[in-house]
Amino acid sequence: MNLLELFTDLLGNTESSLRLFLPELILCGTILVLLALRIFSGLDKIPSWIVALAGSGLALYYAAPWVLLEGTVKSQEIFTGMLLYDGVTVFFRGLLLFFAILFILLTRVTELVQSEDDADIATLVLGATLGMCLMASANHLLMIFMAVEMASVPSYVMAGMLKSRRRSSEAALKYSVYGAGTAGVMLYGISLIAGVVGSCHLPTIAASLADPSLASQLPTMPLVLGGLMLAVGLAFKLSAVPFHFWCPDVFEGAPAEVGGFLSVASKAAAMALLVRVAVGFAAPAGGGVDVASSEPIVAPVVATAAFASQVEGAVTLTAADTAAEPDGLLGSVRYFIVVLIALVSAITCTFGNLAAYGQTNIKRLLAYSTIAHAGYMMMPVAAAIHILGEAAAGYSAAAGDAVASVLLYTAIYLFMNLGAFAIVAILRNNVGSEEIRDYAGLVQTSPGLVICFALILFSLIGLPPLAGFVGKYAIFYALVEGNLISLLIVGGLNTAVSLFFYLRVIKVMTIDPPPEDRGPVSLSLISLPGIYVTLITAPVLLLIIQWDGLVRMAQAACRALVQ
Amino acid sequence: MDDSTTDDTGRGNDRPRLGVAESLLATIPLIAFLVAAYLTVTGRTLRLVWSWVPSLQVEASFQLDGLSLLFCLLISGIGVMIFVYAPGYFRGHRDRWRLYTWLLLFMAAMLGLVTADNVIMLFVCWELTSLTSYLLIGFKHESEKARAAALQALLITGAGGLCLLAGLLLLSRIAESQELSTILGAADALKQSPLITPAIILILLGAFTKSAQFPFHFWLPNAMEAPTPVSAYLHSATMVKAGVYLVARLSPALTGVPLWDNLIVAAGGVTAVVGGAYAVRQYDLKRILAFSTISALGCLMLLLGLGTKLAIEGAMLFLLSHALYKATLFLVAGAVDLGTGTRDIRRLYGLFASYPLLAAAAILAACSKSGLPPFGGFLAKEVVYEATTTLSGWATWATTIVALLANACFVAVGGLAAVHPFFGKPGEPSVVPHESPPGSSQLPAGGAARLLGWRLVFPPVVLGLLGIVLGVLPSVTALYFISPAMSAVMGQDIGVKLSLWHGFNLPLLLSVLTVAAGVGIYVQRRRFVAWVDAGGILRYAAEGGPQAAYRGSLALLKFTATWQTRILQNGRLRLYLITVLASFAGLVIAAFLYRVEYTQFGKLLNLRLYELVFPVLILAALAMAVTSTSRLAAVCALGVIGFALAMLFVLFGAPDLAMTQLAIETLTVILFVFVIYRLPRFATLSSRGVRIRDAVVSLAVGGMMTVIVLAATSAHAPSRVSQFFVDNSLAIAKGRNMVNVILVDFRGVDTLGEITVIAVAALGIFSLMRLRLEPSQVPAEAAADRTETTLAANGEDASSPSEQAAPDKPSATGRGE
Amino acid sequence: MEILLAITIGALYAAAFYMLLRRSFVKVILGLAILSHAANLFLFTVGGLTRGQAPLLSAEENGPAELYADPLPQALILTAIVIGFGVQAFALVLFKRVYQSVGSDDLDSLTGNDSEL
Repeated sequence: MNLLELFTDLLGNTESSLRLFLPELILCGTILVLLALRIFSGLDKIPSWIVALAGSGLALYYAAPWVLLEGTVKSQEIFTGMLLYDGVTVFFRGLLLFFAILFILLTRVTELVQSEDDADIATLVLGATLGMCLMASANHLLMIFMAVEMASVPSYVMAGMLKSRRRSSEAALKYSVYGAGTAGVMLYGISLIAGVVGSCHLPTIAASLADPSLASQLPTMPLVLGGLMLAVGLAFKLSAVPFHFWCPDVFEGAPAEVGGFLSVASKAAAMALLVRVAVGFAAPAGGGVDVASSEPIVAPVVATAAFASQVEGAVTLTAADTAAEPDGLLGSVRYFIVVLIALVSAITCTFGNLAAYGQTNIKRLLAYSTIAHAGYMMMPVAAAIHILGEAAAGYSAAAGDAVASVLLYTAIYLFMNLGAFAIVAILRNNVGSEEIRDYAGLVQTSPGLVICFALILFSLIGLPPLAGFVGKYAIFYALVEGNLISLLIVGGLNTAVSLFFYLRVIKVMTIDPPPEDRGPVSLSLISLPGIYVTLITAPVLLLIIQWDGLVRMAQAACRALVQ
Repeated sequence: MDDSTTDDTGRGNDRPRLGVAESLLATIPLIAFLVAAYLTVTGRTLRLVWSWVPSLQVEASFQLDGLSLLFCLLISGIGVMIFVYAPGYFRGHRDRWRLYTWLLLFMAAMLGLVTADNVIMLFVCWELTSLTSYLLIGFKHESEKARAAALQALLITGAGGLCLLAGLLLLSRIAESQELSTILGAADALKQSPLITPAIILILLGAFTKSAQFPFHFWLPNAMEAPTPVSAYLHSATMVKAGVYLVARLSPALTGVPLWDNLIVAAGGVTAVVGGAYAVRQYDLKRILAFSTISALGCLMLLLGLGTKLAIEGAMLFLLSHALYKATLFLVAGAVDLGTGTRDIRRLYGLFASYPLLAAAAILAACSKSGLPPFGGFLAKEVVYEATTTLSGWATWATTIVALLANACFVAVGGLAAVHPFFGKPGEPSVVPHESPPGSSQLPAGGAARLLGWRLVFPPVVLGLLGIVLGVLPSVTALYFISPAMSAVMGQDIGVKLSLWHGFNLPLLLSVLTVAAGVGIYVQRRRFVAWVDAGGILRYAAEGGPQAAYRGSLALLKFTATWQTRILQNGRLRLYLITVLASFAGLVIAAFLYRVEYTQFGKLLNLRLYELVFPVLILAALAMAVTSTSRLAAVCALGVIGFALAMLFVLFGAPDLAMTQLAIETLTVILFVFVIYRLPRFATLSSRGVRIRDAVVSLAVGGMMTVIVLAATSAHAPSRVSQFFVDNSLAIAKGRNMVNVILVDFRGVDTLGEITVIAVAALGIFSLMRLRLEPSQVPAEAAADRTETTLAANGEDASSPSEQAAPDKPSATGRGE
Repeated sequence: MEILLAITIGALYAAAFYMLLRRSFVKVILGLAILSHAANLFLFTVGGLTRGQAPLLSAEENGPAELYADPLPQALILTAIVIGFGVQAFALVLFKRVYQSVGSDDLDSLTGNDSEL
């Protein structure tokens, strides 16, 4: 292949890729327009939030998540394999863009920023969303790193947006210091993996791992270390314990709206990335494994044995027993991923729920609740990989459905947490406080808002018939399918624990007498914030009636993931 | 709205007329009742399926068989009475519509629960009943006790519900279907699956918490804080029977699994005895009834656990008659409470003159409860005794004694709750005669009681009369209620014949014995209570123990929560760093210990004696550096480490490194010696505990590194990159010292970067030395310091003039690391 | 030998982290210095120990001696040593300035507003 051919090839690839990349391009264009609006004096009359809304709306139109309702999306690699366009991409991109729209509206409703700054927030939001969309479609380790950074940097700035508040600056500093540190660790891990496997392209890595002839030649030590370091970066974005320390401080210091953004969009993108990485390593695409010759790995015990024998092979540098390991290193990699995710998710979930127990600040409480939910959301990923390990061929619809439960939960979580943070922001504007005790007796003056908040909190617990139950059910179902009974029990116990602190907030709002010194706080649902909150709460309440559509979308999105 | 609500039911003193809607509320349950009755009479079983979430195989499916219909009849029938009664009870209460809404929601959920065929549908309804129960118990939300009770009930039943969900999911995984009808058909698969044990435990946790079985029973008496119509409906007749329903529903598949049978029998037996005995020692009418409900639920569980045909028959009969008489008694208690303002039986007596109809209803209910012929309770009791006496071995003795004790207590409870308030004399049932009941000076005389509307009287009378109907028409009872329900529970068609008179046999004898014992307990209540209290065991089991365990676990949870938060999330970044490091180290060590091949170590131990010197030297110097209290000694130790390192480089073929190391080390030591005397002396600032903690974390990190080195060196593959340099350093770069060639030729740009870093560092040092700090500029330095080593949080004044300088410094140093 | 060096490296890291976690400035600087030693020895050991020749190409032959040390890690460590020195020097001076202006060598005295939890 000469240079010209290479160039033509690249050009052709880019041309076909661009069409699928249109939403991101629109976001880029919108950002440029937003910046231009600030530069040219004649244009600064145009409200930037409308431009941002139009841009993200257009992007959402081209992202077209509703095609998932009609069936699966054909998955294809774009930009020479840097990105992957498949159902998960479509689902998360739709989700993130939809959230961006809601978020921009929220910043208007709660009057988060003064007029001279609102172009900034719109730009930052769109920039972060762009990075997150890339996270959701990343198919290459370097792309993963770059996307994480693209999503993180605007988030750091948003966390420190309240310039006048010391806590806000402190939060931003902590966030960026941690972010930079973990990003460095992650990059190190990526380079280790790339060095061992010889590629950053996820399907290629998976194929090498699955290759029986390579199993004895890949040094496992750097691989495991690299995997752990990569996991550190992911855990930071997921705010998984013990890389969660930034989360409560940042949520407390940043404005509630930004907390909502970090807790929903950032988490959704991180979940997408976790799915990408975990499934990417554990399920080689394109039939890299010979189905017929594969021996089923039926239980962790067997997987452990296989693991041990592969280690031996790797350490002693003998290729004698490769015949016994038709999956190459895949079995051990899967086992490693399952154990790691299961462990981290169980700890994260438990820590988050316990820590939320003693909080007095609503934003800190929601921060810990976010941590706990990250734990719940990680569980089905472990289940999915476990199913992959159990199924003989490694491709089973059940694994896809397990991943689909993550998508489903993320979508439901969007409404619950955005609603919660929106209400916190609205109450901050009206009550002037973010301490739970200052919400006392709100039900007397603002019953509608309190009912919405109570519904959202009940939903966060996962009580039926609210939407949170649907998500919890899907997750628990996935855990049962994946035979991870211990995680199921951890999840159940945690749900019981979470009853306490969510109910406490409801109790304060509905039962405690209002403090004497608080002025009259009357927030009707027939006001701009009220309507916003109602619109966000409605799906939380009504999803139970018809949740098949959402489930089908999620399942359609994940079907191609493991096939 | 009426705002003159003062008393605990929130009634105004005037009696506003009921609105049309309010007075017609009862038609809603009536419609349900009529449908259920029609289906019962025609003997049809229905199955309704709507597509709900086909992608998850969740269907909104309902199946109405005999068991479901029996429950539907109870729920809707008693519901009719409750909705007749409630508008009278809550007349003029400002929040009454809220209550009606919740009650209706509850009824719908309950009907859904007993008819659902899909396990998810069942769970949704199950949790909905818990949730509505929470709202209803906490209806009097001004009362702290009511709120606490509501929360307690929700926590216990809610947590139990979650267990149930897990258990049901396991069941549906084994049976590969979410439809109960299919799951029940897969009995063999269920019994052989290894998952059945956790599934049974989880399901029974759900059923036991909901049906107030020992040791989860304590929420039920506390739930009596709810308004009385709610207690009558939820906490005696319907909701608490959900657990019984579930056990009965799953019986066809799970009866015969030893774990299932034994757990149910054990819990039921203990609950029956504890609840019964404890009911007798209460003073509050509603608490008396609550404990006797617990006892009755225990009996039901016991019978279902026995699982014989007679036992199931007894259970169904008892279920029916219990729902009728217990609801009656509750409604009477509510009416009496409303009329006299008290529920304390020490203050209630001789009310017959005021409320003759209520008295009649109460007596009817008490007779049924006591199992006197010709009431439904008698039928039930006879069958129960027949069931227990026909068992084999010690089970006969144990169950008969349990049944006898529980039934005797029912007789006594009937006396306390129904006979005494209307026909009793003052002071009669008092346990401690010297202790006067609170406010006893204002004992209501019979005539002082308030008039009650028909809505408060009619429902108990009707329900009480139904108790007789059950008994005098045994064939109707058997045909329409018991046989279909039994068929559903046993999983096969069963026809039952019932009659009031069985001739003189053992059950009859036991019945006589029961009544005698019950009357004895009632008359000798003081002694009985003294006997119950003896040793405090029963009291502990009934009230103290589980409550204490509940509170204890709550306190433990709270303690753990605050403790872990205090320890881990204390705002100090250094501590965060420690946690992160320690957990990462732990993960790595775990991952490697798991996989390192120890047999390989022999090769690695290939040691020459003279090489031993330098590592040992390093270790000794380290010990000195860490423990020394003298700065100079520590710097010297540092120097020793550096020089020993240089010698190691020499030994292993790296003379260039050794040379650089020696030069740099000399420089470092000189620098330290110069600067260190301008720095403070070593001070021991941390406490011993902190030092130990840090030592542990550091050792973990050190261990991690050791493990990594071991794992790395045991599987070292020569680098492909190195070979390139070997092959090309002479050919391309014309150099024979490969290290040098790499540095100045192949990676020359990197070396340029290195020089730049050094230059930047030198610049930084220079500017720091020259910088004349004003006091206000101090924090900016702190910022730089924080980023670099300690990461200690510090919110400083952002407007400091030296702010711009600060970010550069850590970046310059950071790169070097 | 590798085992011994592994233990030595572990000890170096442990000591370095222990010192870094102290509240006293001076100890933190010492920790930093030990850390750079630890990192150097780590790289050196992981790069592969060879008791043979230095990576020099002899004048007569084109290839190196039979058993020679891997040159690449050596080049990296050489860079690391030099940069490590720069870091140490900078940190030392920085701490000295902080001490001069704050008047305390307790790192916790720099902690402004931690969370009150």
